[in-house]
Amino acid sequence: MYLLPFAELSRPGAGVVVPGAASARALALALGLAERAAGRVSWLAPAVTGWPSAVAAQHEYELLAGRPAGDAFLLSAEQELALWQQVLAADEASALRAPAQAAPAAAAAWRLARLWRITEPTPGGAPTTDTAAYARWAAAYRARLTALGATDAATLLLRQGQEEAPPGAGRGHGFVDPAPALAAWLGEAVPAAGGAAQRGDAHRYRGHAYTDRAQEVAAALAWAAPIAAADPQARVVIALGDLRQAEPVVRRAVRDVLGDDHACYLGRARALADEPPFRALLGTLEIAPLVRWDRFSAWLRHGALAGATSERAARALLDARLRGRDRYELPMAEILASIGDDAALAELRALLEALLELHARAPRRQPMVGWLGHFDACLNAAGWPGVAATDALATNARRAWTEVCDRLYRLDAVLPAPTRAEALQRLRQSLAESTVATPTPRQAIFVVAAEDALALAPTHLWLAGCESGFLVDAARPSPYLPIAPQRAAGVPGADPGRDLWRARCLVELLAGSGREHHASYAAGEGDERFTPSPLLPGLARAAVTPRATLLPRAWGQAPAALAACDDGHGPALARGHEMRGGTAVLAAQSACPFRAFARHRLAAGEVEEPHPGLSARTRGTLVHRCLAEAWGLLGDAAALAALDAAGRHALAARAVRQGLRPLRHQTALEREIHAIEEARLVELVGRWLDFEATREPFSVVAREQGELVDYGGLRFGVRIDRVDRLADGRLVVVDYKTGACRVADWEPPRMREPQLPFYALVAPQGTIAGIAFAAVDADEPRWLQAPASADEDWAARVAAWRADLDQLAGEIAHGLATPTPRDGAATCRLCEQAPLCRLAERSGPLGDEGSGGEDHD
Amino acid sequence: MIDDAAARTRALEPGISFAVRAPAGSGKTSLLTQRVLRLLASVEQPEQIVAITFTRKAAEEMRLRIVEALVAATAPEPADDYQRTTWSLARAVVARDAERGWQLMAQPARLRIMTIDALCQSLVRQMPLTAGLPGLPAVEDDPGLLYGEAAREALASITHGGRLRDAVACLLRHLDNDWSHLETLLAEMLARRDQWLRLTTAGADRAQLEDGFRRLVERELAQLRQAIPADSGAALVALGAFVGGQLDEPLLRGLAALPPARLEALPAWQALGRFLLTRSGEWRRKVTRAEGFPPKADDPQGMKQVHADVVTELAAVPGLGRNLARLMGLATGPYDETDWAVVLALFDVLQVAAAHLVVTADVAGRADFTAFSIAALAALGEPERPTDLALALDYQIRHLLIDEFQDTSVTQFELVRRLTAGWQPGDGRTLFVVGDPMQSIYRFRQAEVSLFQRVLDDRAIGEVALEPLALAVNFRAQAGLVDWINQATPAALARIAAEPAHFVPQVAVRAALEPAWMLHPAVQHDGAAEAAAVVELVARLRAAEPAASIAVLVRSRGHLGSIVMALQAAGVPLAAREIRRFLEVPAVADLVALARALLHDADRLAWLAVLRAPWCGLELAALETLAAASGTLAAALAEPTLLQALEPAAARRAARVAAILVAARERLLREPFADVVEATWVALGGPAVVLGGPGGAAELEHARAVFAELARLAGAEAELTAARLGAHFAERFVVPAQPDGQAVQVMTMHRAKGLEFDHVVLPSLGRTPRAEDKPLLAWREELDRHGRPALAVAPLPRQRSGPLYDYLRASAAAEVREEGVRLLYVALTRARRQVHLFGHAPVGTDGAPAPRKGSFLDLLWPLLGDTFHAMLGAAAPAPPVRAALAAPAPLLRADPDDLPARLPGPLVPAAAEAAVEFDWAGIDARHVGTVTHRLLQDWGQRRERPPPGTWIEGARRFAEVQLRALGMAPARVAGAVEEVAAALAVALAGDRATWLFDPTHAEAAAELALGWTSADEVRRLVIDRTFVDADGTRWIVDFKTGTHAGGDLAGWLDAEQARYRPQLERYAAALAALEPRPIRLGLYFPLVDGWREWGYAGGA
Repeated sequence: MYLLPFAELSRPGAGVVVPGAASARALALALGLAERAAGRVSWLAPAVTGWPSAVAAQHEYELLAGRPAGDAFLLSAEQELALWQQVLAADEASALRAPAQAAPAAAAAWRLARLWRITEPTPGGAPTTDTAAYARWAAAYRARLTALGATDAATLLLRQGQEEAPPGAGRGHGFVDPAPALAAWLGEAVPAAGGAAQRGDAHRYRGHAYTDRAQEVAAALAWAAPIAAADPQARVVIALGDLRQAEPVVRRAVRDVLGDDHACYLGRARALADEPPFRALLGTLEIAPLVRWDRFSAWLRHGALAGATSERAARALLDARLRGRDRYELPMAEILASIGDDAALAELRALLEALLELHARAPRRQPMVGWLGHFDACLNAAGWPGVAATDALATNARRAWTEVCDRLYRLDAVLPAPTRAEALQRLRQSLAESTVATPTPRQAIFVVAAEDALALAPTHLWLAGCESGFLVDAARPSPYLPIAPQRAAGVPGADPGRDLWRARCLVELLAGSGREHHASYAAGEGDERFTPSPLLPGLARAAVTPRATLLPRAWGQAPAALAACDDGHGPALARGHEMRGGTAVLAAQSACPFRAFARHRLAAGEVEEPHPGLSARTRGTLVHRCLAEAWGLLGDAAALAALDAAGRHALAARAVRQGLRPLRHQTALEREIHAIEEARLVELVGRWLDFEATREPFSVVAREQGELVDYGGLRFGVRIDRVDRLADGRLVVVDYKTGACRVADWEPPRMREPQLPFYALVAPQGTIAGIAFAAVDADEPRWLQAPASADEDWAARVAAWRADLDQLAGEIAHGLATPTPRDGAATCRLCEQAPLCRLAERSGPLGDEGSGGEDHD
Repeated sequence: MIDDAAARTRALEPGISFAVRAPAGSGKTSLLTQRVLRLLASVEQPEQIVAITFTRKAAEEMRLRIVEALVAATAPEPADDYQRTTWSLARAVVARDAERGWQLMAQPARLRIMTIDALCQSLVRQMPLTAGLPGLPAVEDDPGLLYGEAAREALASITHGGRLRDAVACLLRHLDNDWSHLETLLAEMLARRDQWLRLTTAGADRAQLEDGFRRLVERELAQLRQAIPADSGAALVALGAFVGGQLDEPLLRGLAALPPARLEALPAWQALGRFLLTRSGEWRRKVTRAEGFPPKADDPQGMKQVHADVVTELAAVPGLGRNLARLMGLATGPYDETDWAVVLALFDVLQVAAAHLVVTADVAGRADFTAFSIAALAALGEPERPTDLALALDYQIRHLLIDEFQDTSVTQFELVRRLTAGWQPGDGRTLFVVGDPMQSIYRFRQAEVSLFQRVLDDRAIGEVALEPLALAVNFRAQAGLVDWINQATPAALARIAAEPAHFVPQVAVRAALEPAWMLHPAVQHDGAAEAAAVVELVARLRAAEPAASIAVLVRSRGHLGSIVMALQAAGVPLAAREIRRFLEVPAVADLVALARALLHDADRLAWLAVLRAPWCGLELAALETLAAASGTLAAALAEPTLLQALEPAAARRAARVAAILVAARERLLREPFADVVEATWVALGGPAVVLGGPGGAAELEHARAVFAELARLAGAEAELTAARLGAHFAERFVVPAQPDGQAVQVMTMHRAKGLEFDHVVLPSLGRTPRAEDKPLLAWREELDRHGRPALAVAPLPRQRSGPLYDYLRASAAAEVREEGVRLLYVALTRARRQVHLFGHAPVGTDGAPAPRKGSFLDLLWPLLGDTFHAMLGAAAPAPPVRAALAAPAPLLRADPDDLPARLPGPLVPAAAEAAVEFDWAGIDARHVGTVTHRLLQDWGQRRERPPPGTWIEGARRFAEVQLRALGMAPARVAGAVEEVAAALAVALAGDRATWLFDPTHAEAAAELALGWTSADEVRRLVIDRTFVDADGTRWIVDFKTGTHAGGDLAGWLDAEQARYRPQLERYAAALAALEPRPIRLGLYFPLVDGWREWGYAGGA
């Protein structure tokens, strides 16, 4: 094992080599904080590097020294992975669907074989399909390295001892059981017994148990904060068994307990791709002649673009309009046409045109460096990152972007010229793997992975996440190398005995120094129950701490006194007020007064979210339009009767063609969907005409006719689907229905479908013979009407409707807006107004009550 | 009393494989634990034993039991029989552990007790390529988005032309061109593709499917024929012949015997069915001329009476009517050309959707559990052609134990078969499956209860022979309850005409307590009344027995109605898991609205909701004023004249919120979305209004959980939209805090499995479950006596019904009904002492209460009916009344003066050092500069220097390698190397460089690393070159490898000096803190041999 006293680490000119980049970052920070705590403004800083960087430094040194071994260039991590991806993609026998995803495991096997000095299988001698595939890949990778004149860090490591170490080369630190090749490269280790590597007793850890991980991490942070505050020299370390898994919980707990993200050092930084400016960056580069609505919508409204502030409202409204077009993919030409000459969107227009121009000028393939230049030009055109150059946001974003480019353009050394899409994918991947620079924490509290804790030489240590698999579960052998040699070599995860020894060493080494030692575990998560790790005897004795309420410090507000406010009415409407939404407001009022108020007086609606294909609303509208066209062509039943089946079909086809005229099909998908819709409508309209051909004579006197009607002191704009005149001169008002409909929908009180009764009431007395739903269903066309028979008391029915509609209109006029759904949960189920009506707050969840208490009959 | 001790002892035989039926409360887990202990004493490595449990919780519990047993083995021998057995088994393990050096106690994770999903993942991890998941994806717990995306991609294949285009178009036409519906149905199918994928792989074979249909129908006809009692059969034949004559129906005319069990005879059966059954499938009690029966006067033979007698006799045969009804709509040819085209299309599209899912998952690096189970099967290979598993697995499995075997799916069963392929009798490897078919309640997770029966019948799984064992002793419930359940369960099965094959009566160990069950009847469902009665009962039980555990179990969440609220209102401590959804919590609904508002300025509904929430509390009048403005509400709020149009109090409320929201939108540019939403919510006074409201701190904890979820959602690759937000929080349940003390547990019956309570309260037994959604494809697959599969499939019909689809769904419905009985059994057997049955039975037309068909009360009616009548007594049944909604309580809102006034500024990290931005056109020059810089550093670091010319020659090789590594185009490398060499030559030849690199300088250093700290940061600085000159002045020099073309070099150098001045002065400040020397600063430009220097004024 390799472990140096903390005091030795900061010796000027000394170099320290630690297990990885994460360890190196944490240790460098710890050394700096210790100097600051000692009152120093500046100091000679030691070089702290992870071993791959140290190997790279040695390689460069050899190269500068002109040694033969230094001929090859050393692949960067990105280059190495890109090379593996090429190898896997080229291996026809493996036929991989996503070589990029498979490459890391192959690269890991290669590295593992070298670090642990495992003889790799040959293609002919591999025992399994997986190892045989790896043997092929490894051979191909080796060949590519040779062809390129390149090498990688693991390969270099194998040549340890052959070269002179560079001046200031580091000493190993923080390694418990390094792989043999690494150990040999690091040189002489500190002996396990005595000296710096003093091992302590696992009994030194005071055990704690908590109900779940959030409680556990919060308790550890609450323990750490006062120690760090009281003792600037302290290095308070909270080490987790699986930091990757626990990261969201830890991040949340840091904010809850310590106040904000910068209060302590967290060993896992956020991905650059998740930062707002970089979301905008990717969105900008995805702008193409055809865009998906959701991507475009997010980009369009992003604040990091030129003109985002001044055109904010106009862009949001444009987006809402575009979404309302029911198009999943949007041609840029259509977007530009929508913008038109709107001065409120002038910057957006210029920006889109510039991006499209750059897009059009881009070659099909070019080296990565060319694409990075192209991307940079796109970003400049977009005004990215959208703030003044002097803003820290701009500086940091630009710097991070430059660093990403620095790494990406190295890919030209190993990759053939990519397409734009391939280059963008590389960039996306690189942004996902890059992390945000970690700011200096206010206190010396380090939350790190357990394996990184040793290098920090904690003065105060809390091992968290010590459940039964602590330190022994995470490691796994490679599936691409035979298991027996891995076990023989002691690869982590391959040999339980060696794993246990390793875990014990770590626990005991950590116990060997420092002033306070705690260990904890979570007794459960959800339904699961966990048991403590036997490595830490103190845990078995710990009683589970009762769950505490976890509330963020920033939420510390006193309870507000809430006053009741009777808000069941809006202002009454002036006489003659014209209602938006026509008779739909009556239907809404009938279902729930609040719904009517919200929809028709507040215009409270959601922003639509398009889906591929045609929406139900569009399909319904098309049916109405085509039927209107059909009856426009026919005029009356006699004309229909004169047609035979073929004639009706031809007429349906003509009507549908005319009805579909407004549909634009600009994408291949739309062309297909519209063709299907046309065929569907021809069949549907044809069937309907077949059905109507059996009716008594009538003529169609109105189609989709709109008018304004005064009723109950209000003015309603109405649109009638169709009005038929019967032989006796009286009229039937018709409403086309493509979904479910029932005669019972006209039953007061609070009719579900008051539209047709409304027409019946407002029409001149005696002119209406009845009302009808035309159920336009290809399989079962139906005509549902009232009166149902000649015997029915029409006058009584009309009177009942009048009473009901008077009631509804009166409520509307008086501004009644109480959330009282007619059928309880059944009414609310498909209503979008829940966030606004606040019914749950008032009545509690409706569950399935109110619909007769049955879920299903 | 049945003594099953022999079976329990036998089950520990290490060399024998067993299939054990272990009913509720029979100590199944204890038996499994003992067997694992027994096996541990016999293996080389503990990893050779794999025990499969249904949940991770169960796995951890079993591991704990084993560890506890090992710990207890060091204690003296216990007296109790069971514990003594465990003790001695554990002692043997301890000895084995010591002998083999396992250190199990220190490493309990070596015990491979896991879920079947975990086993699949483990297999895939060991053979990822063979398994077809070489990317080793992470498990996606929430794969809905993946399914949706794959379904969408499959449908988008319509643009690809050819057969696939036709297939998608066919399906879209079939479903009225409703893409969304089709996509949803496809996505649902993907969730259970392990069931149908193998059926569709080879494409649709019409002859094969028609043959499968024939065999299924003929099997059913044979069962029908056999079920008809001989006497009734003869009378039925006579009736048939009579009706045939009356109606001139050729299918029946002259009927002399029951039709054969042949598909061709199906129409004849249906002709018989038409006078036996009504259209709705009920027994036809009255017949008329329409059915072929003349009025009494014209019926001298009394055929109507014969009919009545036959119907009475047949109705007494369990299931006969339902089976006949199922066949009534079927045609002898299952598919017409249109149907068949849809089947073909569906098979194609399903295959493509599954393929897209694989690709989608590959690219995303995430896969669902089903992908892992399919992959694990692939890794194992066909039993006949196994893969090289033995060479790949880290440990060979010698003993496989499977708990809850009744919930095994077909895929999991196949996995077990393949894992044990090649196991030979006597080779020491064993399989041990244990479960209770009566507790199979996970059909929705593809559990297939018939598999257990098949294993018991076959006494084998694949090649492994299993000895059946049965446990019968119930250690959990008191005798009265066990006896009642022994009666109730067969009665419930009989009620749905199901065979009681899976049920085995139990024998109680615990003494009887009376009463075992209590009925709480009602004639109509009244949620409020039921909730009040439950509260009253719970209070009574808690008062009488404070330590007793109580659970309220419901069939579905909707059946709880207002029970949870009523219990909460009564102050009863509750543990209600997966009961309340996030959006049902007002605080959560408000902050989701806030998130939506920040997501989109034009989301009017969300903006209005934000303005109406308690932190703002605008009334409808004010909202209408703002809503009347054109443009977005966000813009309206920023409009002073509009705010002035409001009442002053409303204007004040609106202005405060507007200011916060404007600031929030600016922060969106700098901080992750979830962070901004949280900060805004806090600034609006979110915590204050929640604490002041009825929900209190508990709701605040839910809000905290929402922010954690929001961070995850916003960080995902898929764009966050209002719909996604809404759907996410509408579907997920809040996790309530566990109260102190003995809480009443409220949960669904499914969740209660594996738990036990003293008292079990079962409300809403009179209600029926929601109907299952109709899948895109219905199918039925059965093996005949020869093991040949008979498969029939039907796509979702375009019309409301389709004969074959309905027939296949009706077959599944029988399974659903049987599972219903099992669910009731599970609920009843959770009780140790007493069950409390709440239910309503509406009064029928005959004035008697009758439970609704399909309700649990209906299942128990044979036992409860009389009591129900008696308890209701003479009380006149109330007419059904629609439950009236309570008048909504008034809106609550806070006083703005009690809330924060503004949003604090963001936490802005300090700007990093300004970066040199790329000049893309001059990238090669940049590379040259970088390499030159590195070489000059090397020159500066050298203690012994060769002549510059020699060194430059050597540097060429370094330059070439580095330029290649940097990605420079090969054609450019040679030229660039020359440029580097030239720059070095110029630099080293000049006086400036000679002075800079003079080895005689005191304290000379290159790449000097300094730590430097300020108030809020610790930074590392690296100085290119530093030394102390003869005058004792400290020089700090940085090399800059920028180039300048064109004129005015001096101007460019001045500009560069201004640009880098802060950087160098920071170096100077750092060094000044270490030594008291005068300091001068210099910038050296080797590529243009430029120089700028200035004195450091000491930070002034």
